[in-house]
Amino acid sequence: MIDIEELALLARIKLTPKFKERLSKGFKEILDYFEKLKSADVSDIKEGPINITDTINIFREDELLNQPGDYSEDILNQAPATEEGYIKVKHILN
Amino acid sequence: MIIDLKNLTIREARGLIKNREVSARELLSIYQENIQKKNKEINAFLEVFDDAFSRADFLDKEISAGREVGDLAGIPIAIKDNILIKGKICSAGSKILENYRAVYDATVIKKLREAGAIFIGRTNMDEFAMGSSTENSAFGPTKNPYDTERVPGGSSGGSAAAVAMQGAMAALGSDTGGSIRLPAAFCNVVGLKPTYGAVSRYGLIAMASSLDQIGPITKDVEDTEIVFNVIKGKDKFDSTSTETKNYKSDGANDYTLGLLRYDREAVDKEINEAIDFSVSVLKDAGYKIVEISLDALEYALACYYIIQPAEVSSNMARFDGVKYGLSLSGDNLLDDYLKTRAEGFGEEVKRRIMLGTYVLSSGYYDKYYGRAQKVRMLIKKEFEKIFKDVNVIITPVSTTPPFKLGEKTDDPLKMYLSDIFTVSVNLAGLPAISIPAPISLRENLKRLPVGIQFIAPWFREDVLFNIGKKYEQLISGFSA
Repeated sequence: MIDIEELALLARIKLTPKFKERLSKGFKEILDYFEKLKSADVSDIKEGPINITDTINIFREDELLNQPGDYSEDILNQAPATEEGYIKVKHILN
Repeated sequence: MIIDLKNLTIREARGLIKNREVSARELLSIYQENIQKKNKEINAFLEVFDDAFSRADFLDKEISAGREVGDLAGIPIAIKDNILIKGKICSAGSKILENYRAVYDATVIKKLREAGAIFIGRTNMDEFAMGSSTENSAFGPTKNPYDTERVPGGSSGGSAAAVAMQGAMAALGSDTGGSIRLPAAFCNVVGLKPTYGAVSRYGLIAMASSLDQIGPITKDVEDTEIVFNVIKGKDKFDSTSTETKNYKSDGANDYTLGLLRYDREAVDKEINEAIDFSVSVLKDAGYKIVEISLDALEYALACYYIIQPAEVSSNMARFDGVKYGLSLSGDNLLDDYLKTRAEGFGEEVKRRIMLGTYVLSSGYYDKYYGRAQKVRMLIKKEFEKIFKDVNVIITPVSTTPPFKLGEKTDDPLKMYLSDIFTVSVNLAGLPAISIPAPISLRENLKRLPVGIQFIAPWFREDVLFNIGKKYEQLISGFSA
């Protein structure tokens, strides 16, 4: 049984009672649908990362793509709270 | 000069503009008038850009002065609301980004700008591209210009409707599981989902990064080819992008076309008829048709709806009310997150974040995500095998014509099933195009649009353009 409240906390979402009910109902149906994958024969497929277009090891020179400060002001202007050129966040440790 | 907007293509329009038979300003004003007339009902555009005219005037001056202008000079293009244009609001159809202004141009925007395109406005979409009907937008649904009681498809429904209602000559959309092809089919326009890596996603608000691609929506295949050639290519800001070989349309007539065998009982009669008709005209034109089966089709949707929410749950983590966007204050930092995300995200986004969190959680990872990744490779291998025998695969785009607003909103799984013919293409990273079947085919007087999907091997968009143009010629006599 899925603990929807616990999952919502992990997902950082506060649920209303109404949405919680709707979500729980749909969730079960969707997870049941996922059971289809059980019958797929994947015995020939190796473990490991998937590679869709066969690209490997995309490297580039370790150099700056933008100049320092290029976007700082515009970015800071969008932040809800700033102080002295930093984004301000509530403290995490009490 | 009288302009027949309905049949005006990019190729023709850019000729008229370059030869100064029509000014960029004139062309833009016709589209803007159309938007003013129709957008109130259709809701394809969330915003019409007020600086478009000054851009048109600039281009007109350049042309009058005899200066070289790009391939899209003066062409009004609509942009999906999840692609960043510096200085413009980019909300991804979400309340959480309602007032967010982009601080840089997406690579595709930079390329279109350099080619002389005019950005006419930003188009409505399902919130963060999560949906198949554009009903999940925080700013109201878009309606299908062919029948306003019906959905335009999604998630790029605003972009497809914008082109269909003559509100733009072309539009950009994004396609994670069918979000360009389904709305293109529902709105009777052409939509291309390029090969994974063919077009840079730098500046696209990410939904599921191993599946997302940006692509054009236009009136015909040639216009799609023109826009694709402008936006494609390797970009140092997106390491998944690759330089594509410059295949030229070979004009080959001897393609072998693989018709996908599917459960015809599960698909509407109109769609089956459109497929049968299309196959018969292609056969008469000399193409060899073979039936193919895709065993993995049965698993594709379940596979997709595990991998995609998993990536969604990770991509959506950045919306926390700290850096930008909506920010609500609670008792502590955790409470800030919970409140901001509860208020800022719509239901479908929350559902997918929760689903993704679940399938990635400890104890379930192997059962869902690990298995889905293996099935994904299985699907890719099966396509590889099929493309040894055929040049192109033909399938429906959807199981039904455009459905009614509200018809599937209460049943998420039913909505997900709308994507059954499109998701396997994204899982395999293949290019695919949706092209309208002739409207006059449809027996009921409603004449709802139906699309046909052509799928080609990796990086062979040229094959899609070739067969697509041939198909358009073959059916032109049957179009309404």
